[in-house]
Amino acid sequence: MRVSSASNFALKHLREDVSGSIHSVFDSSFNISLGGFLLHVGTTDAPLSCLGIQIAPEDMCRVLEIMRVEDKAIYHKQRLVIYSMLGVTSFDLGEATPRSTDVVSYSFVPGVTDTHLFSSIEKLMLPTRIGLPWTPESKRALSSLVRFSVSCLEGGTTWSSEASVRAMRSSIEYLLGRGLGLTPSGDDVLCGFGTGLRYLYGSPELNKEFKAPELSQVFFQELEHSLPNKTTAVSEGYLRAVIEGYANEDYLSLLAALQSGSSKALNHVIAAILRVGHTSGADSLLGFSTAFCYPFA
Amino acid sequence: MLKTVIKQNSYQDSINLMLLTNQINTLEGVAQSQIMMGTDANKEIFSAAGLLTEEAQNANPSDMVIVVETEDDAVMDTVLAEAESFLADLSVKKTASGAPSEASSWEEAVAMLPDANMALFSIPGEYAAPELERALDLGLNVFSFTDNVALEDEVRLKQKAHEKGLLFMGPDCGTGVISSVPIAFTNVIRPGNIGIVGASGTGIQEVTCMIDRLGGGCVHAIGTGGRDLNKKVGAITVKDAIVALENHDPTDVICVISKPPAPEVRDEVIDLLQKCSKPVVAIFIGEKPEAHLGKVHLAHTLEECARIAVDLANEEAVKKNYLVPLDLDVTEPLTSDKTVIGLYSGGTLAGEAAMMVTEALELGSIIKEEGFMLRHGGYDIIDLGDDIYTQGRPHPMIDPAVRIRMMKEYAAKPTTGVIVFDCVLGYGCHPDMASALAPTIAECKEMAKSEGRQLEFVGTVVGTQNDPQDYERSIKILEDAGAIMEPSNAMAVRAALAFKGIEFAEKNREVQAYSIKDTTPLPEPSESVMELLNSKPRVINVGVESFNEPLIAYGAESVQFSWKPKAGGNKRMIHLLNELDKIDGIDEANQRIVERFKKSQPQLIDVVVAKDAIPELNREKKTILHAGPPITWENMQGPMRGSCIGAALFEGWAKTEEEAVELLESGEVEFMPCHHVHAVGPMGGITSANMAVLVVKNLADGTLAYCTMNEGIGKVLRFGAYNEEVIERLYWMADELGPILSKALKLSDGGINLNVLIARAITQGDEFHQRNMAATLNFLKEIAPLIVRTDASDAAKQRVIQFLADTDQFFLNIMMAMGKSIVDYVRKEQEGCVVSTLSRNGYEFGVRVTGLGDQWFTAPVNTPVGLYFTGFNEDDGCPDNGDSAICETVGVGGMAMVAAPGVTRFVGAGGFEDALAISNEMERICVTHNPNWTIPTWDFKGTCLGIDIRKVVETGITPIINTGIAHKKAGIGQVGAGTVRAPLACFEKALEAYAAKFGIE
Repeated sequence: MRVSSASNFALKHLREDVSGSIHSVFDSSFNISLGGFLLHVGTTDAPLSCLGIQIAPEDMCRVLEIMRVEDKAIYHKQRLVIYSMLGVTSFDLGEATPRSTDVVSYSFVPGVTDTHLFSSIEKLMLPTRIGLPWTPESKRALSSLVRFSVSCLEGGTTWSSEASVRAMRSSIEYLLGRGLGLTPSGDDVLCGFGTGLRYLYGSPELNKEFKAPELSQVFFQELEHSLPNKTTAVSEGYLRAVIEGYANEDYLSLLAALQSGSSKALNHVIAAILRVGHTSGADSLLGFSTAFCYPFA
Repeated sequence: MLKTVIKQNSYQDSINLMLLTNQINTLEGVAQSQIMMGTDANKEIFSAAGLLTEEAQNANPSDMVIVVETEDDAVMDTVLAEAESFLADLSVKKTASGAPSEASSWEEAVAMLPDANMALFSIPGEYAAPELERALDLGLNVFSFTDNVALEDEVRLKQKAHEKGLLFMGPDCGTGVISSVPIAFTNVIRPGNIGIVGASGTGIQEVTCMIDRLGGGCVHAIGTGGRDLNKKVGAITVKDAIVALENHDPTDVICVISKPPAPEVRDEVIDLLQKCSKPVVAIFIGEKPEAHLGKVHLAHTLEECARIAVDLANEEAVKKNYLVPLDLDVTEPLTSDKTVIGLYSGGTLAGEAAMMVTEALELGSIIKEEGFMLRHGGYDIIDLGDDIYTQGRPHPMIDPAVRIRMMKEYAAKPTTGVIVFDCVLGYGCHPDMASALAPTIAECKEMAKSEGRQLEFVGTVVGTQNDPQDYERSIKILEDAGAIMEPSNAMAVRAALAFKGIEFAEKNREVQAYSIKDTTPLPEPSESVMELLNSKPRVINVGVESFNEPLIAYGAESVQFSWKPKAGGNKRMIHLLNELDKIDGIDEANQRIVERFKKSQPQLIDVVVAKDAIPELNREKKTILHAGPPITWENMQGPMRGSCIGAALFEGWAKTEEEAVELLESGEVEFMPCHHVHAVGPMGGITSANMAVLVVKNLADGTLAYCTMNEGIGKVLRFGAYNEEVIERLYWMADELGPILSKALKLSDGGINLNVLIARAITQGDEFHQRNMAATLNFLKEIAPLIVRTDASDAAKQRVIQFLADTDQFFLNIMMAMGKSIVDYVRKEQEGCVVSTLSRNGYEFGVRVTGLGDQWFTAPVNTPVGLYFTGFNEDDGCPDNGDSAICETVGVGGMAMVAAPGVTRFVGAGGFEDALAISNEMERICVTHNPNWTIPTWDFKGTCLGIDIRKVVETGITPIINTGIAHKKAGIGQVGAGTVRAPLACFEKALEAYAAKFGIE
């Protein structure tokens, strides 16, 4: 089968001559665990996952008919072979179009971008749509992340920066792995927050706008430090991509919409994100907005 | 005492019968039993068991023979009820939802699965070779679970398969995996990038299961049969399979498992493997490799083979030594007088155990004698799957009885220290062998302990997590019973040796350089084989029905071919049929013959005095025509004699019965078959010079045929009655009925078109032999206006019309004349092997065949089975009589039973389903259907057309004939109606003659 496109993050992490097995199977996509990397295989009519590759929807239908969790998979000579009881499927990655899923390639326009975002977010009542209970603990975790982003934005005393890092660390501990499903809500919040943080503070030419953009790196370091064995393999895969500065295509579309200044485009993308998973879209949007210091809490 | 029941023509496959035998043996009062088909080979088994009774000795190969040793007379009722229930249960399972479709011939099977690419055989070996060849001729790859195929046949068939680009797996291929589909006795193996080519049985199972449990997998495990590396076979299948796996993209590693090979063939295989681009591991069981040869990694044990394969599949370096430490602590070895015993269900596992023990104790080489793979100094390793233990009983993978008995016997010996055993899981095997063996293991250990002896059981379970049985549970059950369970057979044997204080060692193995001897490039694989390996198999399953289960469960398509031996297992007939199959043009000739049937245009044109139409009746010599093949007065049965007496009285040759008998016995009257003079006659068929006969002309070429007119029911000449009433009626028919009908027909436009009449009446419920009500009324509808127009007196017209209206079966005789006009036209071209005449004279049944001219092929006639009029029963019935089977010859009557459901109950066939079943059965022995006469109740299929004697002999299905039953004594007449089968022997004789025509001996 032909692979249409592949994320640069997935290509970076796929090693030759590695074997693994089917990790999870969904209605229109599946994940393969290959030598410690979780490869997402989706369809061309859905946003590209930063962990993944895309195949034609009709090919996906054929594959899903025969594929089962734990089927053996081998990646060899740019060919991914899946051995299922009901048939062998071979994916040729040699012809796949590599696509960037880097967050830093999108520009933040101070004073405009956040206004757009806030006006769209405000009416969504995100706290009522997320997977986490909106408890004092959840509010506190979000407040701490806002506080950390404020520190990156405005700088401050050493004491206050250290305090915001400590609070951010507590938030990570609280949120990591919290919630149900393959991507727990807390993880989705952290994904959104990390993507927002990378977008805001990751671009060197814009860093002059902020007092302490380098502080944002501490979040990624803390997240990487806390990550092992705290959550599901799928969530861990996405959080690692966030740590390395990558995001799913729907978030890249969100960034593009913010950059364009088009409210219509922005609302369209946000609506699409909200449809992701049961509450994953709302969870990640909450985290993303938190990076912009949106005062949910 | 021995009790025998023979169930004639009741074929069941041997596995079903072995399972049934097991069940019967558990019944109270049964000392032992044996249920098998009555083949010569099986009779030897009956004899060996002391169960060959006279009835069993006389049984035919297609008969099911039940012999029970019992002291209880009443037990047979229970046995038969149990057998019926068992077989009925099988038939219910056949119709369960999801069950595959079923075919009864190759043609049907191929029609049901036109893109089939493999045939799976599990039929008796004695009949297998031509069937295997047929599959190859149909372009099918072959998987032959069937064993006992002669070596010369294997060589020939494999060469043929290779030339046709097909893969021939087997014979005696007990296990295999094609595209992850388990075939025959096979484990469910996780798919993966290792491709296996292996002999046939537990060698493949042990390696594939180990691979699975080590985290690897394989898509294909191609069985080759145990003799493929024989010098004469030359590894045809192994080589073809290697080339195919080399070209199979998902396969990254090739693994070859071989039984002890011919040295030169082994070297050829090694040379071929060296040329593969993929890494290779091979094991030649019995060999102790000192080094790896070039790129071919050589393994010593099956376990090692699996471990090397998995390392190669994971692109890890091959280790120099794969001996894994045993998790076993033997503090005090067994004393020197204690020995190791191996009781195996798997032959290759037994061979491996024998090899390891032989090497460890330096006993020379392994043997194969009466199931023993090792028999030395009290060390016995036995393959309980050997023929000596499985003749007439299920394989030990299915039936634990023999192993349980031998475990007990060996456990009772004070010298037995360790018993090594296997427990094989997977499709086809016992549903819970571990639970079957565990109580015996516990009991034996307890007994030894009570005697102060140490007795160890060491075993291995060959299976995977996905097998229908539970792998982990099986291990636990056996461990709980006291057995030490090891993850491989090799480790089990090593553990057994450890109890003897012997540590099994393997030397490190280096790679030895290899120079390829045959430098020609690897051959290209055939398209057909690659298609097989790159898709799910589409299988025609010939034999054991349960083999469909894993096929369907793992995505293959399957059609069940419920195979039965051709010709009921008659070897001579099978030979003739197979030789005739090789003759070109027979089918084409038969097609031309049936075209002549279809082109026939019978027209009822006249009614005349017989002597005016039939010169043989217009001579000085007194002559009587009769039904059936030639017969003498001495051999005539009562009804025909009675009819002859009636004819003599009618013709005025005698005035009394006594005078008539004297005349007929004197030899003054010549008896001649109606069929010899273009005539036919019902029942006795007696026709004399002055009787009126119907005249039918086949407009296709003007062929004329004759038949007397139907006299009605009650006392009539055709059933042997000859009193005054009968004779007077015959005069009236000759003097008034005949002439008036003749005049009427002459007023028509060339007569009455009978094809049209038949086509109409068949839609109205007639089959034209037992039921002619509709046809007679249709005839009356045509003839009555014409009768009215004749110059006969009104009274005469009224009598004629009333007679026709009262005589429901009047059309039968028209039908018969019509049939005769058709077959006599058809027979003018002497070719093909289609039946041109079916007839009987109460003494013999006669058949004539299109390609064999006027020759009759006869056999003793059967007595009809059916319903009798009140006051009569089977004892009164006369053996079958009459030319009326001309109806069946042209495809109506019993052949078209489904057309007349109203008749089926009368003739004893039961309900509509039975009528349908009969017509469907008749369809199987015919060339085609007649589009001129379509049957609404058969979804407008045409009547059966062209009985092919080859099909009759091959299937054992003989034409069924609807008939009246005459009383066996002259003068009483009809006493019932029913059906009768044409005797098979007529067709066998005809087939002999037809084959002889082509020089077939």
